[in-house]
Amino acid sequence: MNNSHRRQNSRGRSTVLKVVILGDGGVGKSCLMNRFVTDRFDEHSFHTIGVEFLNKEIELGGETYTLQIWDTAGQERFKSLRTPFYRGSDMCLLTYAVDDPPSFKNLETWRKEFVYYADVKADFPFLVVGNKIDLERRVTTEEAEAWCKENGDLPYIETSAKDATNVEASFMMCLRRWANIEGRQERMPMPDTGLLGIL
Amino acid sequence: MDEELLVYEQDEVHTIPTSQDDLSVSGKLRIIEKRHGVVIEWRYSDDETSTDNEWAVINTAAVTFTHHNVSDSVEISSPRRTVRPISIELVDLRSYKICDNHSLVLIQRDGTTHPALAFHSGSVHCFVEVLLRYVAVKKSEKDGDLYLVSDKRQAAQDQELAAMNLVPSRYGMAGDGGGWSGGGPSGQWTSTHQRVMGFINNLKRDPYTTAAGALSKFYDTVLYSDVEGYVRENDGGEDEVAELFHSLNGFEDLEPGYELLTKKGTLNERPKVERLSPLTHDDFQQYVDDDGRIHDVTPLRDRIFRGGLHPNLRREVWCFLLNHNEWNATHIQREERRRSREDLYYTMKQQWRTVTPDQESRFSGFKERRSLIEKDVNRTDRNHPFYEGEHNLNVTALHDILMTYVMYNFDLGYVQGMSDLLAPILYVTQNEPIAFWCFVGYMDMVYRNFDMDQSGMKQQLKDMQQVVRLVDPELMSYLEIRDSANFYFCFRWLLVRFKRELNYANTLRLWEVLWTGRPCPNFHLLLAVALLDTEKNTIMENKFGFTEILKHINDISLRIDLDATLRKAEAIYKQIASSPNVPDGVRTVLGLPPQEPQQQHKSNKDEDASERRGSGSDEDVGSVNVTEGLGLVGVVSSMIGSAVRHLGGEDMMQASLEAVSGQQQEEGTSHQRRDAEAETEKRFETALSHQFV
Repeated sequence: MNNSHRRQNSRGRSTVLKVVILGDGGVGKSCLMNRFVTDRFDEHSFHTIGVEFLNKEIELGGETYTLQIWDTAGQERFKSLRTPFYRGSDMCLLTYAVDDPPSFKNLETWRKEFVYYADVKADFPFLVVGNKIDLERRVTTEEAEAWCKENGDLPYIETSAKDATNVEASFMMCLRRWANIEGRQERMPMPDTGLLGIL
Repeated sequence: MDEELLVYEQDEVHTIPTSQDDLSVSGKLRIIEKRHGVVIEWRYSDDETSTDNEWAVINTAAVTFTHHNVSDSVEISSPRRTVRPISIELVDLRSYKICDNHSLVLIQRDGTTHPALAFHSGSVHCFVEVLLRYVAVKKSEKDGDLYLVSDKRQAAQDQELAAMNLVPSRYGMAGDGGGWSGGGPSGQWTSTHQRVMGFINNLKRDPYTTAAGALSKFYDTVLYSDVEGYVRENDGGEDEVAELFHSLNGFEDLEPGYELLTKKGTLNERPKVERLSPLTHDDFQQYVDDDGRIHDVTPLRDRIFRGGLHPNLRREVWCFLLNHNEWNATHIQREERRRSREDLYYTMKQQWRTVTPDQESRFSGFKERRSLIEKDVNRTDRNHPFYEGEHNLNVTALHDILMTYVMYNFDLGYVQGMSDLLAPILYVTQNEPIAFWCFVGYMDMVYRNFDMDQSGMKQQLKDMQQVVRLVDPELMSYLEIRDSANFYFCFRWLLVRFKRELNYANTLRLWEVLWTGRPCPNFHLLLAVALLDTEKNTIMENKFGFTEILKHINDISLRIDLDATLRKAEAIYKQIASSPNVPDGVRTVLGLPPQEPQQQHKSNKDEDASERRGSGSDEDVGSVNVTEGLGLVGVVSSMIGSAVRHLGGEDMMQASLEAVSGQQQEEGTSHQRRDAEAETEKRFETALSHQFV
């Protein structure tokens, strides 16, 4: 069962981290979230209206984290009602679909929108996700990796929410990156060997 | 596994269908002591062997429908959401509801609200008995069905709250059943009076510290205490506090936008409202003359509002309600119009169908829309029999109508949410051109939901603020304290007119009722207010904040009692319409005539109030109502709110929020986290409210 890694300590010890999933409409943001949280995939699930979020507990280096995953409507029109939710984010998944080149092209716009409204530090833990690798590919891995390199050496992963490929791994990867950045910052006042040990 | 101990197990615990044609699913409810803590689980009965197939079990149990034949009046609706197994760690259980002595709803701390479970064998009380071994439970005083779970840590905090002694709290009363007792009303009032005066003096001396400190102290106390009951028992106390408020020299001048409504300004009683059965074919014929004309539209609209339409009448009457047919036309004229509009539809359809890929490569606005429509029709109502399966022609028709609408109204184009508005229309009309024109009629009513800058949606959220502030100031104060006064959690309700919250049968019923335009403009907002009224106790007693409210509201989707909500919404309308002193802002929203001047001059106090109202803006978003339901709590929190806003602006509010968030440890997150959240939500609200201006 997926729940096997649930926290052992009682509530109050787990840190809540806010994760925002961004990307064009139809790239699979809700499907990634649902696959990760409930291990379920519905090909015909509704497109998101407004905002939704799900919580999922995840363990890293003996610590339990509650990922509060925010999923928003991807259409440009809803920008003004979406961006207020970016504040306070701890990490961000920039998502496109590998069968949908315009969605890849728009990663730049999404990154800018997020950075502007979330008001985050330069070394914010982004993760670029190429979803739908179960479908015929129209964006190559090389193209995507090149873009990531040009844009501050962002980490990149390819997933299929349908086949459950790399979905948990992508959230884990993002959490590690968060812990890495966090650990770097906190090393001076309070070294966290527990976290650094596994990185 | 051997470390697990099964302490409770009950077979035949069923989910409760949300409508007559929904499915009830049987399962096992268990309480298990696991190594890391106690867990409540509910799983399908036949799910013992396979855990991988959790989802498939329900999907295969689909009901067979006679679809594609609406005129046979089979109202169909499909279970659009599969039932999920439940697993809750006891530490995450916030409360539960027991309705009619046999159904159980479990509610988590994060706002997750699980489907109602009915005990077909055994009893919910046995479950509760076992539960009580692990947690303390107290019954809500406001909602007889609601039970709040607390552990020892929380109980200790309650004691601390009582010790703060800012306002009387029931936790301070040893052995008291809940109400205020001991000392006699007048004696207690004097001490409250002194406390309020003391507070006011402090506020004058050191406004920053006093306001921030009091707000933070006040925070949980407001939510725990039974102050309203206390004020009611001490008749006159409220007026006295109102006078205190007045006596503060110049206080009311600090915020010209704030108004004070006294007790006399509260709304009248909410009347009882009855609804009728749906309008039948025979009923309808009485409104139609031999040539097909409908002369008397007003009583017909009234009748449709009161009961909706029989399903076999929908196809015909929706065309009237959505302006495809003209009421006062003959059969012959109607047929002519139908034919010419059909031609027009196919002309516009040809326009986009003949765009070549080469053209499209230089027509990005068109290409983007086409791409999004393709994606969205493939995820619109695909669990409904009418739209299910691969290569479904109805999905193609959905696509074609939306593409043609892009040609019909290129400025608006396609916006997410439109496919939700179209799908039920196509299902009812079963005719592509007719569905198109009916959709055009619907869009003419709701196009502002899809404004480029979303100003139509923002206006509605702002209107919600005004109406809730009037109808339920207590809830409004709560939402303000919890940084939820932006009403963002109503966004989905309003954007697609509750389509995602109701099953198909109920969506059709609601929409035809809304299309009648009765009893007032923006009746859908009152429906939202009625739903919030129903959820109020759950939200407040569970002390939900913004994220929890959002989650709870999303979770009650498909569990709404439409008929009861319609009755409540109409009752709220009648309540407002019959009451004096309804602010003009609300009057405008609901199409009521402006307030007549003589109504405002009943007493000196009312005159004061009306003067303030006159000098303030008519957008009384910042108003403070001191009404019966709000009582002492409202007065003091209003004072704090005003002082904070006036004296310190944003920084001050931030300081107060930080003080507030420090009190939320028991919510399960760290101080730091909470502060960040409070800040986020505050900024969100600020951002939204700036956009509103």
